[in-house]
Amino acid sequence: MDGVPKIERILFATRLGEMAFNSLETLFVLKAAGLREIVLCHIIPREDVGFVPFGGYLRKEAERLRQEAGIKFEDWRQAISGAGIESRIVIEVGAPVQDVAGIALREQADLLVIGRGGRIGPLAGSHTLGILRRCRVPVLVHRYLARFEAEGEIAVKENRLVFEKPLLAADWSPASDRALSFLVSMAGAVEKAGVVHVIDEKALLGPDLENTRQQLLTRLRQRYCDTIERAGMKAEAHIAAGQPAREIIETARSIGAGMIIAGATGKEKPEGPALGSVSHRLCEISEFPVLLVPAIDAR
Amino acid sequence: MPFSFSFSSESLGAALPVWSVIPFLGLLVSMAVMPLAAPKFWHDHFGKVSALWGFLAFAPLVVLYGGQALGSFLDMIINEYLPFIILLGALYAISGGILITGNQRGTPGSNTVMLLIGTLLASFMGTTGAAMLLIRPLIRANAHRQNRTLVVIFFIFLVANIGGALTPFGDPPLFLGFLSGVPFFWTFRLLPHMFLAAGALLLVYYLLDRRIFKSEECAEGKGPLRAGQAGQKPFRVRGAQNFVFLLVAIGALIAAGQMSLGRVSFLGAQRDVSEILRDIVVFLMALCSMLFTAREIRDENGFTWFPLKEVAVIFAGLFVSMTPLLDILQAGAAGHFGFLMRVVNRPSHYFWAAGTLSSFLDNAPAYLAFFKAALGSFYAGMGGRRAAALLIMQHPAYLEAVSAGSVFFGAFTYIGNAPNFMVRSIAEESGVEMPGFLGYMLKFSLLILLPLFILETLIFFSY
Repeated sequence: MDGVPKIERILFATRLGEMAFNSLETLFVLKAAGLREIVLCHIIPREDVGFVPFGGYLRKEAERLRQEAGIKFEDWRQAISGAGIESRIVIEVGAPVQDVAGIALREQADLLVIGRGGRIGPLAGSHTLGILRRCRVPVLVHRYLARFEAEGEIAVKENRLVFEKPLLAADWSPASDRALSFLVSMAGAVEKAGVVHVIDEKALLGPDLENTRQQLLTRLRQRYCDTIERAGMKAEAHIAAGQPAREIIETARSIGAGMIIAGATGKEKPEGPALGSVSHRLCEISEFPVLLVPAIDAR
Repeated sequence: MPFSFSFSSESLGAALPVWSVIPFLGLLVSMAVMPLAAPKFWHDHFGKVSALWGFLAFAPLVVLYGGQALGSFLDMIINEYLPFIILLGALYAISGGILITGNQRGTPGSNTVMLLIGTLLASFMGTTGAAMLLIRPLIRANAHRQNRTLVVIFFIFLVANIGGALTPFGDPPLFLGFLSGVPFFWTFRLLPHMFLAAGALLLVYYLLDRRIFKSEECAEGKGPLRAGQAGQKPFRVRGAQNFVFLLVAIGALIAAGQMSLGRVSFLGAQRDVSEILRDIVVFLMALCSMLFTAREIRDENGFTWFPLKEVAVIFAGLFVSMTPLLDILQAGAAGHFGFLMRVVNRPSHYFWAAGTLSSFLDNAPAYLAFFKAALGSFYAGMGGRRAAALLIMQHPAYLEAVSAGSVFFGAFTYIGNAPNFMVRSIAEESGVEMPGFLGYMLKFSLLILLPLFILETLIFFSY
């Protein structure tokens, strides 16, 4: 496993939507885990102020949007300061999807927080997924209020205590190890962590399923839970079977988790950031905030 | 009234009333005035404005002239607009997949070389493509300079306009000429015209910038990087496979002009099979570029489809609304603008008339209007391609004048050619102080381009 990372600086990228501040507030508990600075970031979409057909650039409009975001951010900084955390502001004109990942690297952020504050729809839209595909630092896809469907009913989940009880989705991969390290780095903010592994189809068809389950449980405890407990947190292991993303979410519901942590294990591009199908699906359908940790720290 | 498609645009042109060109003028005036008078409104609603003028051109004529008018509009959309947008989109996509990196030193000499490279590239990857490829590296290279305005202005002159004069790939007007029957290599006849214009502009730029450069004091720590200095990144081109896609697209254009594979009828409009194949190949090359270019390259280029969408939307309205005018002009003396042919009757007239219209009302419709006027003047009532072939054979100076006027004068204002506003937008976003609409004209176009175009007239069109 790599050295334990620290979450000292967070880049909070926002489109200043509804409930964005509520999402921001949920991060303050990370001060107990060593958080020192939050960089508030807003990208004014280039298309909103540039490329006026046969015109050029709406300088005044860009300035107005910059001021608007600045006033809001200054207000937020008071709350951040009240929590004993430093803050800075980054407001740029650019491409929100393409530029956020680059700014996270430039600002040497340990964690990028993105997501909409809206109340409805899936957790991640094309905007969020676009950022995830490009990002080389851990990303928390956050939504303060998320609507979801369970047992045919529509419910709304308030994601307030995000870090209290995270659920780590583990599959023995280097990315999972990295996600574990990241979980350990949040020790001061986490009380208890769950670890879940979803059994694959081959194991389900094996001769002694119960024995396999017990072996996996033991392995899960040894490889992940012991490390978590050594960091001063409680840990519990779970084995599930079925469609991975659905089962991880189901486990999160059953243990009352605040968020899901997973390794970004995409294989589409070995040399660059990638988003695997499970992590992609988790972001799409989960009502829980999802923290994706790439296998290699690009910083 | 039952519709029957007919493509006798010449007889339709003779019958069309003068008021049928009002929507076209309305859209052109909107394009000229609204970005200046109401930029926010225009930015948010240009699509509706374009659609409104297009509808106002289309609906009354279809009601009054039925299938004949409908046929003329369909012919314009299928044979002119669609290939135009496919090519423009392909060039935009392909050039957006090429990335130039490295922190070259922005000096009068290196900038002149970069402008020269851009000028030469423009004819083969389009003025939009070359401008999008080079504007960011150029601005980066001059980040340490106090005065960056001059190089961007000359970039608009040369790379976004004059450099595109040599092939139908270069500038939209020339591609519209190609679609109307002008052979691919015919536009190489503009080489002397372009050589004079580009040579003179490069010389003027170098002399002016050298003077400015000497008076500039590079800020501490922001000075130009020298060879071997820490932090220097070597010059590098990424996404080079896109040059292959570009070459295949150029090959498709040339091949389509040489082949005759018959014609097919599509929604009542006749199209050459070779032209359909050409458009498919060009589209596939754009697709290949999108599929086989690393995402990071487009990200670093700031690639977005938005400017192309804008051009596609505005030009849809423009093509529809200019259909009546083109029909009237093609009818020659029999049409309501027969007087125009009597007044504008020499190559120099065409150079300045097409140029003036290009300066203020975009160069693509300006080219088509005066190309059709020339055809109507000499071969009224004759089919487009046949008339174009005769014009090239018997009166080539007129087409040279229309071509050079449309391409060169596109640089005269920000609204003369689509890449102008893209370059301006990127430059302003990067912190380059750009002059306003009038400032651009008064300080640069009138002082530099006007004498140059007078010289062009005296040398090439003074008969």
